[in-house]
Amino acid sequence: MKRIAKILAALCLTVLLASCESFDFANFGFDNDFRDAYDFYDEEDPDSDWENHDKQLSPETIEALNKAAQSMDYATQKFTPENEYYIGRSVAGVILSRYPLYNDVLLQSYLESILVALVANSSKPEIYNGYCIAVLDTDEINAFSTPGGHILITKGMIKCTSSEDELAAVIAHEIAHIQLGHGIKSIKTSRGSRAFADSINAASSIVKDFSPSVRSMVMTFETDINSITESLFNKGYSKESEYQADRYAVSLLYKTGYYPMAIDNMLITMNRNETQGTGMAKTHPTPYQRMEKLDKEFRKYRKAEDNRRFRQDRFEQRIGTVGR
Amino acid sequence: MSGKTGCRGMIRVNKKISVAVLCLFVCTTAIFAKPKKGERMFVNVQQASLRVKKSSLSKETEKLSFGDPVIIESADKEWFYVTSQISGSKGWISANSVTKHRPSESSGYSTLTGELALAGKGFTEEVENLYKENGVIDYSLVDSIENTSVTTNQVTTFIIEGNLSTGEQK
Repeated sequence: MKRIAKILAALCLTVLLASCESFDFANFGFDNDFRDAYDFYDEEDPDSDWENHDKQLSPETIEALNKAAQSMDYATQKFTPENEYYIGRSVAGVILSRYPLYNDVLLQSYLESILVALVANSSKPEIYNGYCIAVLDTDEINAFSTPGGHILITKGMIKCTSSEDELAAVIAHEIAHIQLGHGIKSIKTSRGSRAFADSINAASSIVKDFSPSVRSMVMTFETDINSITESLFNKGYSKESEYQADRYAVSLLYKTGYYPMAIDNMLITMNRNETQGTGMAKTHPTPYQRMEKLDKEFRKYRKAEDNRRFRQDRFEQRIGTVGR
Repeated sequence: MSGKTGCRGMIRVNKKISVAVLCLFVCTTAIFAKPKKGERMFVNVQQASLRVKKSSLSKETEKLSFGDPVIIESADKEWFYVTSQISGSKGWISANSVTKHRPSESSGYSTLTGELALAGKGFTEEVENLYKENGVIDYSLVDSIENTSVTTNQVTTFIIEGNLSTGEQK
């Protein structure tokens, strides 16, 4: 017993010391443990003249280059909100290169209002460049988000909703992915794999005129964008991340005053409309699996009032343009 | 006699467990500690707002920029009441919009210039500009979706009419 107590005390002390050193209140939860992500510069690269270039550098510059390499390791161990935003912008760009935008001013302002209302009730109302939302002109049932706060919902997904609360559930699920850092986690997983170095080498060989450190940075940028888009289009996040996003969405709906069980109705329609192997069906657990997981969660919200009627008229007016 | 020894033993064991539990409590408190009054923190989003109340929809008193220092006056779970070190204005700021470390310092080697400084900052606008050179992504489309149109007043009306919550914390 004495030994157990000692071990417990030692464990507590270790945790305390570790937390004092590394804990960052605002970025809590983003503890990245990246490997030496930049050890991939190929000195044998025939296209690179940096081996010769190095010979012309002064010792001070070489020392500065080494410092820069070290600082890169440090910088990428922790994604700053700025880094998340710039990765997110490129991920959004890739999504927008696959699907055209659906332009409807009324629908746009309606979705933005739902988004801002939800975010105002969340623990992260402000992120680096704020949140934004847009509709993709496709009947595929899908919705995407990026670490930079961009949310993109397809027309097909909107057609699966029959109330503002169901639409809010879709948006809340995407907010959850952003606020829980699922996109950045997928980069972390990718960087921990052997395939990472291979994909770095396969990255486009742009910016050849820059130093190895800058080339490495840009190629890593491209590889990280590919990691997230691969998760969004093909592999999906882990099932647990999806269930976690659903639970977070239900809680956010409740806090905002929406009817939390509305997410269930949306999943039922999705289950009916989805085509296997496409869109969300390819990257998410089945709607049935998601509903089953949520059943337990719903017990917390038994007393939630079903007040959807207050919002039904405006939903019908704004969503009408999408067509049913 | 043996009963007394057993009782003392139990007391000793209970004491040890209590110490361990206390240690664990202290550790947990340290990890989730709120910042203290007078502590300096820094804005870690491009623009943060000082607000009259604890809600992102309440009246904004001042806009703060990335890296601006603030002094903690009091701290709630999700909102801190702060004084802007630059202007002296006071207001509520979202706890997630500030960080203990000055953002520019976190990227390290801030005295480096040119390519060296660029590499040290991680993924930034400069890296995006270099990446743009391959022409795969049309960033103008991304810029267009980032231009949001609704105002705080419109959202507040939307919330009230829809019987929703403004998210204001008491």
